[in-house]
Amino acid sequence: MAALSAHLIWDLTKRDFSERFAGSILGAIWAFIWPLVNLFIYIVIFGQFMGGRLPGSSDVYAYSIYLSVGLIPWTCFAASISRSSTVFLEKKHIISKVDVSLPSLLVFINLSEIITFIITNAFLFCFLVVTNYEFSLKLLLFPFIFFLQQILAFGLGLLSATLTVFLRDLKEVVGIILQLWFWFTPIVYVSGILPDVVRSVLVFSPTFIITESYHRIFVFNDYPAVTSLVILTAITHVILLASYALFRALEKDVRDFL
Amino acid sequence: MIEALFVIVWTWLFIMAAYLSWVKIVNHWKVYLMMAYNWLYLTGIFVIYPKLQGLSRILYGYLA
Repeated sequence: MAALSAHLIWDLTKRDFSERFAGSILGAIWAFIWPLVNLFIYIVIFGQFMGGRLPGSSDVYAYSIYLSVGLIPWTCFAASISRSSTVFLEKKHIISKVDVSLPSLLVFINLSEIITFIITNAFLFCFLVVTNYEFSLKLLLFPFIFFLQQILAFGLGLLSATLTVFLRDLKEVVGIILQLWFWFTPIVYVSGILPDVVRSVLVFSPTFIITESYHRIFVFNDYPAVTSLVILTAITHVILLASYALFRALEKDVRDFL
Repeated sequence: MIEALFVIVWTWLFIMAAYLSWVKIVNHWKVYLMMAYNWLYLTGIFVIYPKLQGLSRILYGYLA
């Protein structure tokens, strides 16, 4: 197995970020414009123009915050998985020439998406400050739940990246699963509107637990459900372990196939 | 304050353990060890952090 090079990962992350806006006049400024526009849509269009309100809350910005703290991490999660699923195919020119550690290719995608996430969140926190949001120490848990979310994205990304090499249709399947998964996660709606039967099944979805945790911390000023998070942490690490074990077993075939 | 201190100490402890293990262990099993450390680290954060609020209240009440 090739060594995992921190230098290579950072180099790929920088290149990925700069290539996205290569040739444009504004360049890296676009990295700030996109999150700002997205946040504008969540807060102004959905929260104000469409009059979205959170049940049981009189705060006019409650739904905007509810939507933003669910959508911003989800965008990072979904992009990390969908981009990871094709990374071995897209970078086969590097893989065939250099003895590169394949999981490091997924690390750079995750890092690149995390940078976009941080930029968007910086704008969100500016909005919270402007609207006199009451910050509490519970917010310190936010990075750890996000970290758990990205470990899950990495595990699922590694699994799909490995299998997509042998079965190209899988990248389309991943896209469809992510689309369905988004609508079965209470991001744009509150979980209370779901029928009891659906809700009793969805509570086992990892993204349901993660999104509910974000909402509890940011919107309801409460601690997340500790038992659910501890179980999810164990499941996430089992997924990561299984994905890595599968990748290790198939690594030689993956390189040969590419 | 205690909550923030706990996060810093807990993180530092695991960074040191992970770094030393990564340097000392030469075979690929260290990747699985990192996963175990990661699991312990996050579980510790999620379990201990909410409990510190009560401790924090008691301590501030005592100091006040």
